[in-house]
Amino acid sequence: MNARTYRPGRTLYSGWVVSLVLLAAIVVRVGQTRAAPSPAPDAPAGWAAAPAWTAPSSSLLAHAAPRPDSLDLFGHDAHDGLFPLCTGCHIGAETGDLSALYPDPESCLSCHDGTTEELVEWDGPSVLETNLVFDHGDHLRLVEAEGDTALTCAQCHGDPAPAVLADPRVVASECLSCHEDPADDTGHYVGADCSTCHVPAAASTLGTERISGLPTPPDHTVDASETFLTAVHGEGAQERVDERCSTCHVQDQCADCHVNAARVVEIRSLPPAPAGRGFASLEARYPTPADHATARFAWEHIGIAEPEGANCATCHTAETCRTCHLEPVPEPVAALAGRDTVTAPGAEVDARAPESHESHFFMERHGTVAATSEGSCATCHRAESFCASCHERQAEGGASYHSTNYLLGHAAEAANAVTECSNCHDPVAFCRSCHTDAGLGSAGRLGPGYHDAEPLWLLRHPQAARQQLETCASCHTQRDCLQCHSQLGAFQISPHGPDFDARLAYERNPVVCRACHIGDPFGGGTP
Amino acid sequence: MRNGRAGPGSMGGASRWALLRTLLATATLATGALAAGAPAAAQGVRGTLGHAGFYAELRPLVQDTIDRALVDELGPTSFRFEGAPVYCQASDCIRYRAGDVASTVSGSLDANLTAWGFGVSGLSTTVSLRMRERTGGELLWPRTDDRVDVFLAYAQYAREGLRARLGRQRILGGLGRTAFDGANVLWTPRPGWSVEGYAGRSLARALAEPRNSALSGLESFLPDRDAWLFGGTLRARPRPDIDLTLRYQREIWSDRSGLLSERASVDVRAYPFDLLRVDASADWDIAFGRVGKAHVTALLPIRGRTLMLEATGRRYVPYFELWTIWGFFSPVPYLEGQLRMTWSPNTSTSVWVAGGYRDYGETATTTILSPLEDTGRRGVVGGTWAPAPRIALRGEYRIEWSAGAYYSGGDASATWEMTSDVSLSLTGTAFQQIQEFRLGEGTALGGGLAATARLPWQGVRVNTGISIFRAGTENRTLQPDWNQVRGYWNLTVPIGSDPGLTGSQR
Repeated sequence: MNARTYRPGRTLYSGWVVSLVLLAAIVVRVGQTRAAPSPAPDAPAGWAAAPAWTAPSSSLLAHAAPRPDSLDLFGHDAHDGLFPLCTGCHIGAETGDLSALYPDPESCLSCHDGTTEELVEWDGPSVLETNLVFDHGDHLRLVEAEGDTALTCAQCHGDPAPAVLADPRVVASECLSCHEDPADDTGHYVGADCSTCHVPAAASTLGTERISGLPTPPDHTVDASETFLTAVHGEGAQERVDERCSTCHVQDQCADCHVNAARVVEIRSLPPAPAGRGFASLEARYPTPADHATARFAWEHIGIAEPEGANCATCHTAETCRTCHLEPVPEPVAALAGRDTVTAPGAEVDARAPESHESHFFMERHGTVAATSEGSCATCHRAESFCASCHERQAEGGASYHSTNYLLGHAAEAANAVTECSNCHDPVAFCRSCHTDAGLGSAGRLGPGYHDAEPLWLLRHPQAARQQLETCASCHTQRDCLQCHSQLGAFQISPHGPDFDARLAYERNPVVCRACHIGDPFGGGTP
Repeated sequence: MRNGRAGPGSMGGASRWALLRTLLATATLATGALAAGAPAAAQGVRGTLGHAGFYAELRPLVQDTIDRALVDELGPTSFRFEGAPVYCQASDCIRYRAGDVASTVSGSLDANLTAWGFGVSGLSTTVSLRMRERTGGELLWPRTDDRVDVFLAYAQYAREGLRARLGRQRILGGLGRTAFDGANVLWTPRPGWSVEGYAGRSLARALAEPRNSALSGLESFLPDRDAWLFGGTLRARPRPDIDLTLRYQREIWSDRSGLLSERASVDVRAYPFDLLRVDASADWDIAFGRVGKAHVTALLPIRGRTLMLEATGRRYVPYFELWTIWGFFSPVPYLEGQLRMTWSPNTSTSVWVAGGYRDYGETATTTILSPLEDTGRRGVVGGTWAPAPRIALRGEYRIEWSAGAYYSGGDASATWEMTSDVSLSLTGTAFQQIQEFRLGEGTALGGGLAATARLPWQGVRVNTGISIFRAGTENRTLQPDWNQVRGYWNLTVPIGSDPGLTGSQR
């Protein structure tokens, strides 16, 4: 880049000098114009190269965004009177001829030759840092075509009274003095189609710091609900990318948040950062969508997930899902990008149990949850080993489902079926074998010896048996009961209740009927 | 053997089956080990290996025979010896008393492994087995005479909504736990919808053994034959907020001489409103033509889950297979209502409280003298509190009473997490149980010490603990000594990791 050095003149010269300068101005050589940005460099793997931005053929990138050093270093007012017309030096502004936008440095030397006037060193205008697209000639013609009064340079560049260049670089407010948006009080036409005035950031010559310093559109406001991220920036994204987003952003910045940036058409259409130009990274923020915060989301989300996790992939990497999901992971998870393959960190999730688990009493009714969705248990639990750790532990080797001292006091809970023991323990093979080994098994003789708290136990046992029959079976063999409750027994007392459907039972398994009944319990008839 | 199960030295069918199981387990383990050691990156094995040991010391009840001449005869059927009721017949009587102190030391080895990567995508094998050994003592602890249990041993092929399993497997669902040797095919056309069918040799309920080997010697009317199991499950998600599962299952004797069981169940969970969650289930005993167990629970999390309110309606009736006479004795159900609350205002504090009331159905029995109570109640209150980052206190009190059983007692523990890998716990318990028509009226006090450690090697975990219990008596002239000492230790070694994940991630 050429450095512009300018040393202010010390003296004004007389009219003949002015004439020479005017002559020189006619042959002024334009300052450097910048070529349109080169096409995007090779896109990363999986990325489609964004279309290269091509400057309009007549663009004249002479418009710069305001900046602190945009002073009139030339000292137009000092030369006032010498150059009555702006176009005397800047003829290109009227003709659209880029090469004639600035005077040739040689023309300065016609006066500032070191003899007549102090020698100045100026090697032409520096490359302007700008992201504007503006064609003076087109602008003039357009205004005139619309029937408006022809514009003068001073209308944009300075106070018309001393018709000199007071604002060498026009600020946006000058544009807005005509192109006013009543709804925009930002001092910048930020609600408009940015591309009307600006080239894409990737194509501009503005430094990334200056791009970062451009005014933030009002809808970009960061609020508690992250409205912009959740509801604004994705709406009509295709149009916004071309008209607005690309003014300040490059494709790479989308990938700072979007896990699936490589697959999003809108993002792919955004120009990537040119090689060697580092655009500021955006802070990845992942606001929680409203539906994610509902109680049922943990349950429903697998049904909501689209094939290949399309609607999850914006924020989630496969790793975030695997915070909870064990292998084999559901298909949408498997299709998500891995964290090490993308730039975005992906939304973090906490492995939090479903709300049903947060009840202290969940264990008592977890069977229904497991039955309705076995797969959902396997999401977080290795079903085979996790279930087995309780369902098959069976009091061997320490604490599992029951506390270590549960066995001592288990009788009441077992009798009342607080937990359904038979889901894990066979009343005969498990309960009875233990009771027998501990001396609690039936001796085959019935009396008050064991039920010693109830001397008349035999007279009261029918009600207890019907209420807690599993408890009986945990000590007594069937033959104990058949001593009385059988046609073959001593008292031939029927054990059947009033609702007992004998015919149904006989149809189902006549062998058991014959354990007690001599011959056909239906008196020879077919049940 | 005392309970009739065939021991390892016998030459019966059960012994042959035990040998077969051992061979099967060995073969499956070898397969898993080979898969784990194979060089192919896609191959792997995951699971756990574990050892558990158990020590118990107590005085088992024994029957004493007493000369009838030494017994006080209070009436035709009422006899007392040293103030305690005894049973007399002919010239002698019997009583129960505490025997000599007996102990047992038993150990088990568990292997729960899944291996995959046999050159066929989606093919895996799973095995879960336990080998037991009673290494000392004269007390026979339940199941310790069963040397090998193969809980699971199946091959699975899973691809794109289809899963097929072949071998020993189990089903956990609305009908409880069902184990069988056979085939299972599950088709999941889309999330929330699936159809499952299974069939095979039925195994004893809650035991991974054929009925006749698991129960022979314990019961009288057990046919010496296998049983076949057929079943199917339909899972549906008719709406995003409703999951529904229907299951049907039928077991028959292999000679088709009769049914063992025929049941169906329905399980539902739904979100009728945004926060309110409802779980419900019911089963039908088709064989007996009656409704079985059922419950409906409404769960309402409020204040951002810090307060969980639950209301449950429940029906319980025991289920008996058709080969026993128990189901023919017309057990009656009880209906129960429960209200429960869990309050967790912060991560260091949680409090829960629950209460329930149940009412037994009409037993239609003639009871001499006063009938038994036909209602029951239960109550629970407990909480956890972490007064310091590495200290956790827990306590719970429970009360349970109805006909035949009463319990009132509590547990408390204090756990000190010495480091992120080592913790120590002190436990204590005290309870009173009064049983109307069973032995064991009295109190118990107990305390123990437990430790948990994660070793700095491959995530190995070690747990150990010892507890001592002292029984007391109330309102009894003779109470068998039920004092006990119990100890346990176990060690778990994780094997492998999930495909696609490093060990640190899971």
